[in-house]
Amino acid sequence: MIAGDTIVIVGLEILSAATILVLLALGLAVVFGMMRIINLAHGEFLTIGAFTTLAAVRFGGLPLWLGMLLAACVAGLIGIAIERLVIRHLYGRPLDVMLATWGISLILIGTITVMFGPVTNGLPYALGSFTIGRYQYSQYRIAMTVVALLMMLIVYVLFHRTRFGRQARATIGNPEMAAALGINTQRMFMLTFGLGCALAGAAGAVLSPLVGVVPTMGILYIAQAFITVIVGGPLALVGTAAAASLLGTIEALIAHFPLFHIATAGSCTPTPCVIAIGGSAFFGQIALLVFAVVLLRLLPQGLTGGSRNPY
Amino acid sequence: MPEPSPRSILSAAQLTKDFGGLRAVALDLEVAEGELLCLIGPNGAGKSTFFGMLTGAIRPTAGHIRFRGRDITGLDPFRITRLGISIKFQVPRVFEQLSVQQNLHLAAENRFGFAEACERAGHMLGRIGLSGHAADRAAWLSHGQKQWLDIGMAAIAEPALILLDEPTAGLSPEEAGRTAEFIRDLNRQATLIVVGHDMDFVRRIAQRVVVMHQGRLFAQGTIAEIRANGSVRDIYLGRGGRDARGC
Amino acid sequence: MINRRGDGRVRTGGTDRLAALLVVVPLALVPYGFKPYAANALALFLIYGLLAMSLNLIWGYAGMISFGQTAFFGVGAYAYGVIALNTIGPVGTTGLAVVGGAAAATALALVTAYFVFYGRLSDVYAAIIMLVLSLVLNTLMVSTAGEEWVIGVARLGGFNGLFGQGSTGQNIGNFQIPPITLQLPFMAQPFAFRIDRTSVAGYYLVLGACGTTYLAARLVLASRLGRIAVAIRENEARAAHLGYDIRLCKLTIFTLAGAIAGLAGVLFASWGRFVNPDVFGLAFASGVVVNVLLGGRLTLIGGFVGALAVNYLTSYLGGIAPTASYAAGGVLGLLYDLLGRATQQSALLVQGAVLIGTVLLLEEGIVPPVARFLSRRPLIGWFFLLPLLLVYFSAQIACRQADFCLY
Repeated sequence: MIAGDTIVIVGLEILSAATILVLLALGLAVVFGMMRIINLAHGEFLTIGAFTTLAAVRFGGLPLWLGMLLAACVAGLIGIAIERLVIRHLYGRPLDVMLATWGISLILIGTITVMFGPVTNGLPYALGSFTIGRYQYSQYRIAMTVVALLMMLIVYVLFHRTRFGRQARATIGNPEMAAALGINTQRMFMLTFGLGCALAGAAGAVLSPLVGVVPTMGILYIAQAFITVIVGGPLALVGTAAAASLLGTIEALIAHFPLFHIATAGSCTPTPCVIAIGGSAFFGQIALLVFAVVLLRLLPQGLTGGSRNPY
Repeated sequence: MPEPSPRSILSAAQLTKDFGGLRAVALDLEVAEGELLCLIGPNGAGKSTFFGMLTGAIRPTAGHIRFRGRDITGLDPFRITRLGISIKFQVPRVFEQLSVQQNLHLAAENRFGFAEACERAGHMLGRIGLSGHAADRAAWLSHGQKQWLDIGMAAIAEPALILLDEPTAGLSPEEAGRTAEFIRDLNRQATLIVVGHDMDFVRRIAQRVVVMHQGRLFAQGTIAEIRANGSVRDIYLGRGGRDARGC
Repeated sequence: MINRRGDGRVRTGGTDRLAALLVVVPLALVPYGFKPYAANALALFLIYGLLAMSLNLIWGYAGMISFGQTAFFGVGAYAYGVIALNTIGPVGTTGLAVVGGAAAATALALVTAYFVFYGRLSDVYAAIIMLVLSLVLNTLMVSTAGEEWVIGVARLGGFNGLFGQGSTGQNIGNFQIPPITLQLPFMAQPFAFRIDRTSVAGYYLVLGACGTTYLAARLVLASRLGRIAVAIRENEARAAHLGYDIRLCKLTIFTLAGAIAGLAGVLFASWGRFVNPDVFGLAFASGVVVNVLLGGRLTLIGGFVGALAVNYLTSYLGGIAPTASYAAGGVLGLLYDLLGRATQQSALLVQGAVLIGTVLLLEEGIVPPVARFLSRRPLIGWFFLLPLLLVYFSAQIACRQADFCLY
């Protein structure tokens, strides 16, 4: 039988895993899910957000939440700059966009390393943790979930209840038609891309106290972000939320419960040596990946793909 | 499923394709071996979707397609091609960076092997009038020449059934005339289904004409019968049919 | 390259022979022309070039972009290491390890290709999944530092890299991955292909492998499979409607490329006698793509040349990082400091700049324009460039004999 505190803590871990996926993927849902731009530098906007917050808190002495807002702004501005300089020449050329954004990602990582050095920095936060049975759970993770929900709400309101949102969706869906209606499509693309990057920056800022702030942190998360958006399917917001929940559940479950053990030769104490399959964060991620691939095999259009016609 | 008549090479039985709530195609059609069938109808009638299902690019929602007695519904495109159906799309799809000769060679090699494909490619070059352009890149051809190359590629492997989707799109009247002759020539060895918009062109080649409207077989007969049919004129002008009155 | 004669056959024309000579002759003469360590460094660049060639095969000739070639490279390297460590003792040669390494990579490529191509994934998703494969292997290998991660006498070692250790009870101590050691029919004893002060056999082994692979790849591309691959690259749907089984063709080409990448990995493990999870890392994966982009993805040798160029440039820039700090402070000192740090990150910055530059400006890479120039003016190639290279190398060799070199 599974103990009561285990059920609660696993439930919280699922929530946490889903939250992280939502944060990682929300900006990409706008840029890739809606605009179909394969932005391989997405991870670096997370990094930019994290480092901006670090600089604001460490060198500017600003409170954490203000640093996070600043992170979103800085990331958004850099995103706009990149859209103007590079991306706008490459619309309709998805492969070239991938390569160019990869190049941007490398340059960003290099630049950040030059500015801040390659070491890992920690960000302090005031919230403690509370106890459930045998386990501890950080309060900050609860706060993160709240922030993630807030961000999703903002995106929803922005795209579905404002004129900007309606125009943006029209432009993305049919740029020529939108231009014929008098919408400044260039500006729409620029602002939407900038918004996606700002969301990524905010996400990076929110995640940064939890993980170490290091120039290469974006690399770890970009795969998960893309997988979440792809599994989500054509409906950017709903799809991302659904995919994050589903994948987060799988990841948290496998990360918590070991599946089986393999014995290997080698000298261990106590003998024999065993490798545990499951029960660690690494296997959680593998499970997420495998599950995503299998799911895509069955539903090539993602979870929300049924709402559009496959052929 | 009712048995197709012995001389029919292709029969579509209750062939249906739905896109979401829209029924794009709902068709029963039989094509006799050796005939040259023209498929006409206003835009959105479902002609290209029908072709898509015949070649395996689109999976039917319901119904069956029999080709030479064999059920080919839902097979992969390359298998259908190997069974003897080939298609030429409306917009010429040739291999732009390869030469004209290489394009034809590639189309023939799958069936005939390297050496024989070279011979046949040379022969087809003459038939489509591009002998002087054998070594030129396909990208340099004029639109009309690309159309002929595309038809040549569809025909070179000697399929039993050739589907041509608007082969005269974008051609001048003389080019369309030459195309019509070429198509009649092809008809000596293969069954053809041709989608056409140009009524002059259809008149020159058609034996039997089928009119599609809103995915269904609306009328069929000789070109004279169709021209005399008032309701056919109506559907082209947007009157009649079961169209919805949207907002 | 598709020649202009247009009869469907990919022929090696005069330009290709010239290009081959221009590339191969200097490479063959390098150990005699330069200091011994140059052969060592160049061998590594050649191995990167071989890896780039595998990407050229699937990208340039079948239109599939893959960020995951390094997965097969790494698997080949690790497999060679594990098998070689376990068999060098009992057998004395590493032939089995070479075959095993390449086979492991090929098997992985086959399985991956099956899931990707027969799973009807679009090209974009396929590329991302292959990248993810590499990263997963990276994370897996990093977490293998513990004692329990042992295969025979080979310990995976996590970040410290693969090494061999004696079994319990016999304190043999740790030892490195052995270099490729073969006993060919005419040899009395097994011979180890090393690169060091006394022997450059390892260098020539790598060069030979590159050359043989190139010729084999040309043969494949001249066959029907190669023609179908080109058709797929140009217009995949049309190729399917012409009756070609494109999934099978893609699977074959991809597996072949995986085998080549695996071979490069085997050579890598033998060269450095060390493998660690960095071979699965993002920086390395991006490096291959950059090499191919710079050199040109539509020619088989493009990536190879690009690899040599980029790696030379990166190592040159990395070597000139200022070591002493500038005494004067202020803005100038800060700039100098930044420049120094930037050159340390030169690999990333150069790669990034190359990626953006080639995408925006130089779409074909550098090899095709040069090749076109040479094909239009072959005399310049035969009577100017080639003699120039020969003179340069003859002078190098001569001055070394006379101990009279300027550098």
